[in-house]
Amino acid sequence: MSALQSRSEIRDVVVIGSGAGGATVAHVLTDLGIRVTLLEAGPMLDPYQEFKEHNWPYSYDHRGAEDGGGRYFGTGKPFGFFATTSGSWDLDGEPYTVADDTKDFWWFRSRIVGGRTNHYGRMSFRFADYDLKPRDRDGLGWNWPISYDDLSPYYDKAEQFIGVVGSREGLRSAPDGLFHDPPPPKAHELLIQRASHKMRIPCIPNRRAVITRSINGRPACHYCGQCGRGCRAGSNYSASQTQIFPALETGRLELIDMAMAREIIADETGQINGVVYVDKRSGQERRLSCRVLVLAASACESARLLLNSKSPTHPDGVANSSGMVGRYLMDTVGYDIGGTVPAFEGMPRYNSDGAGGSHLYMPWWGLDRENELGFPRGYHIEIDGGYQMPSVGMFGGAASRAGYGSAIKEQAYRGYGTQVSFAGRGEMIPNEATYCEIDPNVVDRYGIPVLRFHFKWSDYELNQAKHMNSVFSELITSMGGTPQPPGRRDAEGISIGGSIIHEVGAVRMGDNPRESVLNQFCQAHDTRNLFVCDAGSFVSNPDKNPTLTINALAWRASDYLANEMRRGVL
Amino acid sequence: MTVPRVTRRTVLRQLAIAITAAGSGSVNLEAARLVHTIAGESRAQPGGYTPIQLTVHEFRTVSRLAELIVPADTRSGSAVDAGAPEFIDLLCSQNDQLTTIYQNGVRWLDATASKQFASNFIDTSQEAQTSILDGLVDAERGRDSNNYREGVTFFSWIRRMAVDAYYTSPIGIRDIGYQGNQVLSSYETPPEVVDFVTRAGDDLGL
Repeated sequence: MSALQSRSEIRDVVVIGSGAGGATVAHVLTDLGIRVTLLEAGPMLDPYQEFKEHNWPYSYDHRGAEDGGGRYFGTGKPFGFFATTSGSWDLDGEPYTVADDTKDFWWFRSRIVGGRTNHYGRMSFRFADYDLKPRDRDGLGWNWPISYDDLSPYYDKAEQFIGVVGSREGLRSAPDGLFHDPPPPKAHELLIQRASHKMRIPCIPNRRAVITRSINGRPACHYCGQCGRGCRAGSNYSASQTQIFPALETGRLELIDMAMAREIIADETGQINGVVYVDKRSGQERRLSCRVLVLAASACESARLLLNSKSPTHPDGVANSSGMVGRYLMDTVGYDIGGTVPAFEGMPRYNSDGAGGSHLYMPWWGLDRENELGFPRGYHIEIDGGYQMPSVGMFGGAASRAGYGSAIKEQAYRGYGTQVSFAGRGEMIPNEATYCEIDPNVVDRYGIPVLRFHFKWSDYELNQAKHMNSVFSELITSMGGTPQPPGRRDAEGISIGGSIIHEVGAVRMGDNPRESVLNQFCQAHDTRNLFVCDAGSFVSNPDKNPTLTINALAWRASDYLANEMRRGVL
Repeated sequence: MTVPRVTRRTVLRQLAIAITAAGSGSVNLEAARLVHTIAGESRAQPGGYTPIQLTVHEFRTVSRLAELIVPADTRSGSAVDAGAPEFIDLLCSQNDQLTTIYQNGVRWLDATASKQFASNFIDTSQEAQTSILDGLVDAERGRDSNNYREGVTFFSWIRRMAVDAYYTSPIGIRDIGYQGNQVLSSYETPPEVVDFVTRAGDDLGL
């Protein structure tokens, strides 16, 4: 360790990563009076400068096509020019590799205060009771060391704090929460709901982290539908605005941005002493000492940091006596198709922006019908459509059908708002062939060894994606529409691994220290003063988008951690 | 760095709390409007434009094409009114690949017009110009009796960009009927829209 700059002070709790997990830990602990130091590998977020909420395409000379027409050449920002600052699949100087046995894997990394919660879809679904005991149902994968009753009080806390719209439905596959009133359905959703009901699929108010009444000084949603651009008003959940900024105001949170963690330092007994990080601005290494270290760098970054921290007491990496760090990585099964529904032609125009995302969704409806369906585990369906803000590329199809002239305007006008799309999000079963490890041959620009990914879908997932295709096609055709072929990400009949950005597992929890890295409180079996509070702890990856469960698990771990500190154990 | 730039947010919060305390009942709207005022940055279209990348001849040709592709008519203005030529010129100035597409395209167009009508594209009659566009559309659809294949790539580029410029302009946004990007205190789907969908669902037997 050269040019190591030590700070003599010993921090109480150092947290690495400021996304849903790290921000929840910072918020809960500072609320309890504990001092926290938060490291973030990217810069501070400034919503006023960076968010493009409410800006029109003509506010920019490039209209959203980006400089040099980057969108036309496939080199634009990952979710479009107007999407909020968050991260990318490709980070300059921070590569990852994909093993020879793997066709493709995409790894989205965020480098900004708030992490991926700045851009995420804000779907907020509780795991169901059976989701936590999957092996008991079908003998596949593993059970979690906790039950729904352990998690439910923390879902309550998380929902009450971050704010989630929804409705009480009494469905086992979609447990009810403490909801804000949901906005009413949009027009296209009413037709989709009828198509859905005809197929005996429930279609209920969506559950998203948006507030429809003011809480904690945050104003209620103003229905511009632009959550993905970032909400300057803070009416949706982002870890930055909802948790980190208020935590900073307590005076108990120290935030160090542009800090890329390199290695965890352990003493001769195996306890964690602190962490070494690279200050990206100066390129210099610095060291922080702490009583407790919490990793929340994202499932794979946390695994990488553990594996890169070898010492005599941790020869295979910190907390890795089980050899389980990096194993049983999962993404969500994704399959999206869209279609044109002529029945919407001639509908009166109206403002369909709404609360961002869809106002309805379809929870899993095939519980206990797995044998009949031909695949285990379930999926939910997210829907899209309506009169969206015109953007670059939106009317290309109409233009090419019309040729040229006024016919283009007529085609575009007639077709506007007739597009719908369905996105299936399903459960992947953890498998032996899907994991990450350190690539012995590649380092990033800071000299930190990078991850190499192995990823494989099994027939369980492939069959599920086929089912999605047939259900979505039937939904579209029953509305008189025409399904379109899937896009690049789903071209092989299922999404590319990692592309749904739900990578979870790799630092899983369990009761048995030989088969898991963490205990049920996200605390390392091997070292009491180390916690992992991102999605690394996930034992399975139910069809419920992971963020709300990251919030709940991190909150539960924080309560436990604070208690242990109070008892003098940590 | 440890000091967050949260001053404006704090101000906004305090304002929101103050408005609530005053009992105006419109906290959400007022607070949201304030932030959107901070955000507002619409620009006027520039007049008297001097091309920065394309030659004057290329710019005039691109302008004429944009006008033919999305013309002014009884419903609305043209792609030129919507700033398409400036948009294309700007992106070309940032991208050599795009510049080459436009330079080669204009050259092809002029060569084609010269061969058939003995002058550059912009100096031919409207009838001649539309006959070339008709030929390009035919070629695009696989009926290339004029051997226009070489011009099709350029045609699809300028059409795509003219259409994008049009629909991302205030003129195009008004034409298509987008009514959003508003600040609302509550959301509803209007009853006449619900009625429309209900009838559509009935007709489909759903």
